[in-house]
Amino acid sequence: MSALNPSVNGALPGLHRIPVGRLLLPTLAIALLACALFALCTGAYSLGAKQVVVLLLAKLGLVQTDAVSMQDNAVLFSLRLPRVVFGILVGAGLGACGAALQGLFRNPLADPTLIGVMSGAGLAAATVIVLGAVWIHGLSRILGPFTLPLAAFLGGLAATTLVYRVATSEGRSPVALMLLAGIAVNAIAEAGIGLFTYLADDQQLRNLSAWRLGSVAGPGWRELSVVAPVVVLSVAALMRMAKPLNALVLGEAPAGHLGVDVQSLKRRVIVLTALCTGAVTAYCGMIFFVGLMAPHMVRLVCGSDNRLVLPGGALLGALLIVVADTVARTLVAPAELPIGVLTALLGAPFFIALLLRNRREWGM
Amino acid sequence: MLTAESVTVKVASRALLQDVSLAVHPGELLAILGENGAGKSTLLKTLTGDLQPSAGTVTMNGRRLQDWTATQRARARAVLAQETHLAFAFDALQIALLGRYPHCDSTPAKRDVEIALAALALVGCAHLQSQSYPTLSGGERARVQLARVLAQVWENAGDKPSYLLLDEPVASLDLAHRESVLGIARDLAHERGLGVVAILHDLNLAAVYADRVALMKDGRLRSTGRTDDVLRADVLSDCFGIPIRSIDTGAGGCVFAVGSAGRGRVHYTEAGRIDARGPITTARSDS
Repeated sequence: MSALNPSVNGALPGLHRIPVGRLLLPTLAIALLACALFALCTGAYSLGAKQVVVLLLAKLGLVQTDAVSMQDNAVLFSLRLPRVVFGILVGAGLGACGAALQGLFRNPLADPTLIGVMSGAGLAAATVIVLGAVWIHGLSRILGPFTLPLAAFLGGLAATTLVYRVATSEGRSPVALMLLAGIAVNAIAEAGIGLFTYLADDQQLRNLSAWRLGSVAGPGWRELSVVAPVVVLSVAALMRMAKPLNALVLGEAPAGHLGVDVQSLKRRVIVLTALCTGAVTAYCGMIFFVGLMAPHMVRLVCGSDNRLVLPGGALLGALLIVVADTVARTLVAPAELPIGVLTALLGAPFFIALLLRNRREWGM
Repeated sequence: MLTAESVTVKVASRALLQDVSLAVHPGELLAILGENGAGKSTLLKTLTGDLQPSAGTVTMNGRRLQDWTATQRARARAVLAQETHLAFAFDALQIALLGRYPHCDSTPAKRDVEIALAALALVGCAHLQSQSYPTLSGGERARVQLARVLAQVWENAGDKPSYLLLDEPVASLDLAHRESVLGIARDLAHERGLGVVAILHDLNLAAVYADRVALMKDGRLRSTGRTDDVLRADVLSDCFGIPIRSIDTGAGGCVFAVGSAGRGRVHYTEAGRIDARGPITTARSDS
């Protein structure tokens, strides 16, 4: 039977996607760099693009320049750069976590905020902010700057595990069950955060409410030196899950038949997303819907292949946060809009649009 | 050889399989037949390693199944489940390429793409390769999934035989595609030395395409052997609990029909057993 011979006639079809896919990541990377540069230049104290580039290169020791204004230097390296770097970390972390969670739950509506990872991490962070000085003083003295991200990680891990246990059976997570489990976890966390708000003193209250609205302005270089390695390593590890997550699209048993160790994959994705979401949430607070939007936008453009959706989601997430933050601090300058408010304003309509698209699946 | 030896599977002290011994030889298509709940799927899951037997052993190419790593197993055998729900819109070629998963790095090589395309062509779905899976009809989806498992065992891993395990592969297919899918499975067995196991419900398809048949009832292997020896009207009637006749087609073959000769009705008796009164299914002839 000649049809059994693996011969292919003509050009390899199905390649129509590849140009889009090949262009996607470089395009996003260039756009991200451009937006980051724009964000570094923009603000109450305006810097020229050329000036920013020269200052950055001088800092790296690549060029010599003697015309360095102290003020330019201070604005760039103490205010804008940590903020933009943190924005990139937050966006990349949330985008990658969203993509990985959607793959793991086999559900396009999974997202760190909707399924409660973020509020779980938030509750733990609030615990540390309010009770830290009293109850876990000894602990925070040992752990130092790691206390907050570590607590947020544990909170996120507990929330993800709980939602996954409740919402998944035989490898399927019905949308309704997953969202309801997320609502339950969010409600518990909200109640806890509410309790801490009640207990908090004035300074803690200010910290808490700033934190709940979300901001990438907080951390300086010291905090970044903790957050950056955690986020970079966990995002890099999540990128390596693209291939098994692709196989998981078939379901748990078929993925197992293809040689995927499904249990270990689940464990790794849950731990890594909790770690990454925890680390960023500890310092940026609640930033909604980025983890949902970024991977979906990538899917709309170039299909569901996780080898593109994971890195594309991370890059686009970073881009969204950098742009949103720049808008948030220039729109009502000299005041600032909380970035969490802005992403929620953008994200909620997007989420509704997704629900409408999915209506057909639920027979409506 | 893929072998189950005295396999017993108990779930919550209920025996789903009792003392089943079965061997799948390279180069043959073995059909598993039996009523619903007879243990066909449980047996298949035991052969794939999804279920650990409570007693007995399963070996593949002479090595116990639990001694294989997941990837080694995936290189030597492919499994087609009854129904696959897809969470995201992959296109047909991407699905077929997933069959190359155990063989390739994160980016499939040109060879893997060629094999996936050839597998799609073999099941008659080459034209669907860039179509999104959720937009395909039920029959097309079933065939694309078949292409995926074919791509997985397209080339034997080393010089050891590979196996293909199919759980009701023709359930959602129309008559013509039933024939072509089982024809492909049989040709793969005969021409490439693949050991193929398929759970089937259609006696006449089994009669035409299977080299050997395993007949199951109540978690036990009722009889196993060459198709002509096992598929006899008296054995089948007894196994399925309804009268089954074999009708000579006059062309050297026979077809099976449910019901006794003469009257053409079926009704339920008070005991709830089906009392068949004549042929209610006519079946295709062996040509």
